Amino acid sequence: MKAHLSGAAAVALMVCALVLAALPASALPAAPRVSPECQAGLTQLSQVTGGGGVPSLKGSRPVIFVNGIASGPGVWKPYSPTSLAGQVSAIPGVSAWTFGYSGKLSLQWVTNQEIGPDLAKAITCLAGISGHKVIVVAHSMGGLAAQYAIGQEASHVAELVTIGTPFEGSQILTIAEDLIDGKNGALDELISRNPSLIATAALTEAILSACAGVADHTDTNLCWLASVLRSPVGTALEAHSSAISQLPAWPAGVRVLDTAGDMQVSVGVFDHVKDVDFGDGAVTLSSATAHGTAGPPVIASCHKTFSHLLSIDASLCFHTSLPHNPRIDAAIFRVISAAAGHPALAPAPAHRPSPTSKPSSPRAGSGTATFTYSDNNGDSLTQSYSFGSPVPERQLPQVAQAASSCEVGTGSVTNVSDNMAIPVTVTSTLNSDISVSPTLALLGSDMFGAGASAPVPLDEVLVYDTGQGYTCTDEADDNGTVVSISLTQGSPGTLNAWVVLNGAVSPAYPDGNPASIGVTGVAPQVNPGFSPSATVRYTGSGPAVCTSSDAAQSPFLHIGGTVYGWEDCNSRLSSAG
Amino acid sequence: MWTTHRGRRRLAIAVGAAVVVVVLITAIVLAVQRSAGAGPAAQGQEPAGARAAVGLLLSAGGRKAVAPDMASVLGPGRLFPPGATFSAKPGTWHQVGSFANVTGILQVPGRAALLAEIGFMRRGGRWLVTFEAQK
Repeated sequence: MKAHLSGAAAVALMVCALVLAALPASALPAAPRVSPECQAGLTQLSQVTGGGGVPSLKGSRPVIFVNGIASGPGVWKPYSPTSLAGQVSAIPGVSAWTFGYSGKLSLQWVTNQEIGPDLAKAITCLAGISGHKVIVVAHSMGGLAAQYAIGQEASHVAELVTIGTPFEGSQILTIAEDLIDGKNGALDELISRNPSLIATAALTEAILSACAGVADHTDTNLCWLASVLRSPVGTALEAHSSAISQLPAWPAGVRVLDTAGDMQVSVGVFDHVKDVDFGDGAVTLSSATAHGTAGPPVIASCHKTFSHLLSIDASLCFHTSLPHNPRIDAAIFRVISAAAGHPALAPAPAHRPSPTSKPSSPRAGSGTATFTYSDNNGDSLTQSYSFGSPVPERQLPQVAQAASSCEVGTGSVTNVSDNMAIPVTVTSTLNSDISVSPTLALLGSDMFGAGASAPVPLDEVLVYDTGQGYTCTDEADDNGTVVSISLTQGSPGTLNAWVVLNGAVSPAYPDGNPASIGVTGVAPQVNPGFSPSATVRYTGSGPAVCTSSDAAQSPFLHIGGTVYGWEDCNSRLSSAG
Repeated sequence: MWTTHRGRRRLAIAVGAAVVVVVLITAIVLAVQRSAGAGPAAQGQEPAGARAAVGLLLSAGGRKAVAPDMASVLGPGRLFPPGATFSAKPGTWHQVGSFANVTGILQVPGRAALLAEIGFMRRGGRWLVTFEAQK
């Protein structure tokens, strides 16, 4: 469901987003700091512990991960053993570090003392104690911070890997700023100098239109750009800005491997659509690959429809998602493992399946589950769930029809032809002489335990058919939309719902199988309308049923893929609670 | 009698307090909007100019309703077949500054009705269409 807020609320949300961007540094457990020699005055430096150990810096090959604008060190997931940073930290002989700047600082230009200059100090210190040159991995503006630092300390850097770094600034940002500020003359002049930008301008205009009133300006959707536009560093990141041209020249001896996202976005009117090259949504491909000296750039390509681009947690090719793109992660891992003397080392099985990999588990779906809620007065409510196998949404026209009245999710049902839908039928039966109005919410996200990541930033949307007496209520809290029905004994109510997987049918996921995509399932949250006793009994069959390890009151319906952080899921199948 | 008086007084106090709260909240919201420098935002019914743009978009001269940059990248031909209609859903007009969108039902003869979103950009005093996408 697309949420819209007032201007004030949107501003407040942007502020919240910026605060949240700073959270990973402060909210996570304290990390072991670097040795006192480097720690002095460099609180930005933390050692990556995801690999399980804390190898000594002395004698190691240091790798330092540098975040970008409106971000923080948390973008690298340094505490996760399955993240790139975590896996790099597990390479023998490697010590991995994050150099983090977050919150308001992450919206400052790289010449700020606490960014570029301090990064230079960190590199010098790490190289000095370790006795080895440092490998720098930098995302977005972090690559320009690295350019500044390397300009000061080139002799201490072995290689730089950039991820979506705007070496020539951001044409997309420049166009967006001109449009928002009403500088039509400047935009016209820009396009007259470079006519190929007209399609980029058209797409940017479409995005700004679509983002009007969109509340979720998180860093995982394209409307995130708005927070950058209003930041002090927005001007510095304009295309061919004087701020970028004033950075130190690249030293000749430092190898630079560029990695970049390349989205093609279909946009237009009705059947008249055009594929527009849109880089990673913030940085054009040419800018992100403008300074490669270590061979051809590594490019992650995606194709998206316009609706899909905006409604999902973007795409693995989107600027903020690039640090988690499997193709890019694999390339970076190869560079580092080779530099550390382990060229044959391969990353551990990814925490998300490769888009091209075969499903590792049987095709999902076709399971049943029954939950019985009872109290001490003899009242009970039985809910029977039936999951079907996923089918292309285009075969289920009733889904789009139902979505217009009752849907919930991180996005909304977008291009029907791109989606898979998993039918769910819930039959509620009341065994009591009282009338109740139970509510039900199927939660399709946050299925992942601590330390694990969502396998794929693909959004699930729950669609409910309210045509059989159910009431759809949009709750302004984390529970999202709930549906309710009035029940009396002997008159069961049946609810049809669908788990819609936006973009599940695509070149990356041709079979649309949740198992290959990595989708896990949904958790029903039920208020039976009376106070149940502590134990909720459940039975079931097939792959659909499972329960969480830590929340017996919140059963879990397993659709497919790997369940992360939900221990003993399979062993609990078909058992009674 | 006494009870009624007390009830009225309580009611008056409650109403007064509610008015104060509403005024305070409104003042805070307006202050936040001003201090944040947010562009003019609006939500609700689409303006007449936008409705006119949609009407033009669906007509034979539909390209005249499209923003110039988008118009230049679209292929040739009429944008919508004759008989196409768009009914905006109430309350779905969202505008921030010169950009806006609205959601509604698009009906094209021979096809199933679709939920569609249309984007707008205001230029030269006119609302121009920046995109149309099926949701």
